[in-house]
Amino acid sequence: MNNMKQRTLTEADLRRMVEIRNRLTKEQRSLQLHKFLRNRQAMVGLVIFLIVLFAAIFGPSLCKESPVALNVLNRLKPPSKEHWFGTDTLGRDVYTRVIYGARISMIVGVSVGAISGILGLIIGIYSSYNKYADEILMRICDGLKAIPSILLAITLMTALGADIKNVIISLTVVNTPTMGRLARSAALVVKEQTYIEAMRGIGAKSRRILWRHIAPNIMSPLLVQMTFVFATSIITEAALSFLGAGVPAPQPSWGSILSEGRTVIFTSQWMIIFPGAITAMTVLGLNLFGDGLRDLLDPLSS
Amino acid sequence: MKHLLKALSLTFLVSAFLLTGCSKADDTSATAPSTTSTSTSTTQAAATPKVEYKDELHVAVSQEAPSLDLHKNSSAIAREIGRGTIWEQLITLDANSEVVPELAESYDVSDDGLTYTFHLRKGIKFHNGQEMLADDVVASMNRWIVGFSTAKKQVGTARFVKVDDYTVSITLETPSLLFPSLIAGATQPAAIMPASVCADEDSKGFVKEYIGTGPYKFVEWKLNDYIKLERNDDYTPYGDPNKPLDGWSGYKHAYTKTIYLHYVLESTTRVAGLQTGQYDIEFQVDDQAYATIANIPNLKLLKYKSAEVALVFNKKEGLAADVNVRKAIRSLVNAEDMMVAHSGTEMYALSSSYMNEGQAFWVSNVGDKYYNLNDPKLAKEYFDKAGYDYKTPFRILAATINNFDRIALVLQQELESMGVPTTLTLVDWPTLTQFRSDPTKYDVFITSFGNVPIPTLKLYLGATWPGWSADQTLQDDMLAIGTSKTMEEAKAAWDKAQLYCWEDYVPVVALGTQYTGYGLSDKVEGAQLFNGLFYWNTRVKK
Amino acid sequence: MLKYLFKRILATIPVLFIVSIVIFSIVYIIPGDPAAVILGENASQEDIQALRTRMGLDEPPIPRYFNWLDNILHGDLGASTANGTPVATMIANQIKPTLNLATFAMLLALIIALPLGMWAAYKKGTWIDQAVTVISLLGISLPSFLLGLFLIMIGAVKLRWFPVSGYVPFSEGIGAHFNALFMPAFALGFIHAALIMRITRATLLEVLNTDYIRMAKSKGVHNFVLVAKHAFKNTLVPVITIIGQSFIIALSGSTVIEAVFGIPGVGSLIVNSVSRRDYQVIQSVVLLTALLNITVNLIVDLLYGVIDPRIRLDR
Repeated sequence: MNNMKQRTLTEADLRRMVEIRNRLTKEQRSLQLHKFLRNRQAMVGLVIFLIVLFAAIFGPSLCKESPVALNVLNRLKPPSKEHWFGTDTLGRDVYTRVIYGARISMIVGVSVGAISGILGLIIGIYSSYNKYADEILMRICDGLKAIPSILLAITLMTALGADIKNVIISLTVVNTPTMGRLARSAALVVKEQTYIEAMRGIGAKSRRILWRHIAPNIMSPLLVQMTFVFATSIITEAALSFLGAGVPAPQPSWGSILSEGRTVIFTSQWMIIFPGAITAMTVLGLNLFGDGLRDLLDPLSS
Repeated sequence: MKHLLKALSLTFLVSAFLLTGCSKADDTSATAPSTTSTSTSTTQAAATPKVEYKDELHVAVSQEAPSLDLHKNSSAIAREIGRGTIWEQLITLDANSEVVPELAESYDVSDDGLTYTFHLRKGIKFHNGQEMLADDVVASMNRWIVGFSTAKKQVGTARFVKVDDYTVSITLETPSLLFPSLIAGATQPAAIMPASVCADEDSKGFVKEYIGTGPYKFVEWKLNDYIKLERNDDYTPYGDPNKPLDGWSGYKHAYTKTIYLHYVLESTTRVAGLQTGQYDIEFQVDDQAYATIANIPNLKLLKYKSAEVALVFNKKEGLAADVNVRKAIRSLVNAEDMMVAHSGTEMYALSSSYMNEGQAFWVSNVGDKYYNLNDPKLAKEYFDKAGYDYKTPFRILAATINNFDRIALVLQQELESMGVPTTLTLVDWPTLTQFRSDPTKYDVFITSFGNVPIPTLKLYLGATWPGWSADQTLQDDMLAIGTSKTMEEAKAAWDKAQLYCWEDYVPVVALGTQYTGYGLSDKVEGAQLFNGLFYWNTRVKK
Repeated sequence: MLKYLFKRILATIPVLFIVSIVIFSIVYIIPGDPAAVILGENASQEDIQALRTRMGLDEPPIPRYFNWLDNILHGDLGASTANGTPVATMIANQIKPTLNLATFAMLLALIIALPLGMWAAYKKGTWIDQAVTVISLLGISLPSFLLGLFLIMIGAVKLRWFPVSGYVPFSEGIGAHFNALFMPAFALGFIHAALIMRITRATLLEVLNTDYIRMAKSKGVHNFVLVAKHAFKNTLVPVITIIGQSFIIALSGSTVIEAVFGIPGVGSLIVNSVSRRDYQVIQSVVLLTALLNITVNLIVDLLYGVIDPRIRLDR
């Protein structure tokens, strides 16, 4: 009898608890959104990012030239009316390559951010829930994290072969452990919250708890981390290109354009200046945006 | 917002400074004093009051040798470090690529052309103080034969034997006019080392000690950092001290006491180091560095024709197994575009000859009418003749070193613009060496072939080398070169073989000759350029 | 404390085991034949095959793995294929430049980032704050090889203050050592500076918001004195965390910096070994680097306890 009564109470309580929590979160969100919109750095970051994203999506169809069209005898020409950013060592139009490069660098950044975020989420959730999974997954994460990321990425690239797909795989392998760790610690906190405990108490299926209740609540720190992974992926890809293991020719990525441009840094600076400035602005924008997003979504961690 | 604008503009100012800093960097180099820490050397007792020289030479190299065991490795870098410097050979080449004695006093051939006898110079000392005797020479030469597959093929089971302490000989199975050239100019030098060193191999079969008779002693190889050589004060020079070096031969003064070969991966850094005087010589400058160095007043450039760039077809399997496909590509390529893409505008020469002027005797322009045709219409005729479906992709394989990938891009564009789909495989060098041995992986691969003293050493004409030129007519022609009685006969046989290649068989498409360049400070004197740069008589003014 | 230490050390064993499997597997699938690389263009297939056999490359992966593991447990890390230098010697030679570079870079980063971070927090919301944030973020927004090359062009080619490249051991003179190391350390430190600046600023803002400081303020204590006095202690823990993490980042970032500045460190050792297919070197060096990382993390965790006794070491 007593047992029965308590059970009904708990269910009603639970519903109310969830409701209140949702309302509170909503209010808090709108407040923070307001704050975010007033965060000038974050807004500037977002605007830069959106411009580059726009260029990556629509820019290529607006370019007259092909990014891979060679004109060897017209190589290393300084900026002019025909070639705004000059031409490169094979006579390709640097401006066109930078625009197409935006697309490839964005694809790499978004994919690495998204895939490592999702993998991290899965790893984090399961290792927060199951002791054995935790031991195994966390040891693997620790192992991968212990290897310096560029070294891991360059050996992976050599093993898999130069290909955009493999660049994404390598960088994902490098970034997933951090995501997993992050998701796990967030999930552990959420798990301890009363309503989850209560749900477990009323016998909800663990898969339901994991995906319907824990997962959405640890998305915030993961999203923030994903913007940073996005940003670092662009830089790491450039480092890989420099070491000869990035996105392969003829596809242009910002990294490969810069890496090629460095060989003519003494004589043809336009191959470095324009792509370099655009890369730096974009990554800077992403970082500013990420900082703002963190203030918005994850105020505790900063 | 105003604050942020200020912040951003400050950021831009900083980056603008960085960028302008680098664009003006070149101007001051002539006047600014060198204040580097590693290249300054201690003052030596002034021997000549007029011009004083440094006792150290710093060379920046772009790659490390895979091994310094010259008998077993054919890399250009190992050769240029070791040949004539640490190790010397029985015979060597002069500036005309003719064979002259080095550690041998003289050599002679028996009337039947089978037996070669070498008379050694007396009193030559190895770096370990031991005298060079016939046993050492026999051990070295036989180790070289076993290690150098071309030599092994040439001599069969014949080996060097000791006649007396200062005489060795070898008796071949068939007469070979070019055998001395093979010893003197081999891509895996026939270095003479002590018999004890030859016998003392590590678990992988390489020598443990680097000991020779040359003007410089090997001191230290700090992997990933530098190789250090020190003057061998017991060196016994040969030739006339008042005459300059002749090719690889002549009087070696060993002026500079210590030579450092610094391994610096990044080309931009090497050029910068040359500019500031940290390095005296930059070894193997690329096309971009060449253009940079040419604009700097206190630097000078040396270059020589070092290799032939070629598209090598896979004649075993796939599209290029059909001779008409090979002829189509031969008719299609624009060699000039490819060479500019590869070497820049200053570092190539157009030539259809498989051998370049470095071996003037063998130059042969019989292929001129098939070279650099750049004729898509003709190419299409050949593709049609081959029954090509314009759907099967043509597979191009190239390594990402030495700009071979750029040639691949040009070839790709030329093929695709006439409707031939392509797949491009760009890999690093070690992967290439594996992939090219696999006939299922490619239709053509791109590489260059360093100078060789005789045409029979051209790798791509070999039946078993990747590409597999296993064509009976060609192999017979090549054999005829080796067994010729006179040089003229040999040259005629070579012309015939090369014409057959260009006209009928098309094992490769030769694109042209590439130069290897070296950047030098104008204080450097006496660097010897002959199939590489050698430092025996090099010195650097203070 | 001792029990904790023992537990942590025990926990590294499975991690290292996983690292060894990961790196061995990657190296195993790397295409390219080390035997062909060593012997060069002229080598015949038979010669290459003979060398492969001698090098044990034809053995199946599992025996090869356990063979390597067995050798390592016996203290034999293998030798380079190029000139037979033992891997242990190579690591001993090449870890020093990397460690010195990483430490110097970290010091430079701290010197730049701590005051700037404090200043930014102190001037929160002003243009100084914004400028400091943006400039420090540039460190992680610019590919480090570009920064390195810019430094060479200005500091070495134009101004002739520093040598272009190379590493001068400490034994050859302290001045020369730091002179040669300054530009690479600056390039590398710029990356850390961003991270440290961020964390310093954030932590400090938190500290400035505490009741304690507010009360002090209301009592009229000068703000700057407060910042200097109390902030330092409170920022130490997060800063040490970031230093621990930065060490891994330093090892990673130094790979590119070492390549640009021609420094014979661990990063360039791996890069060169990959291009030479020097398998044993790659495997053993990565394993040792991982061990080093784990050790540094352990030390950092132990330091927490020393600095802030409130932090419990067992999770």
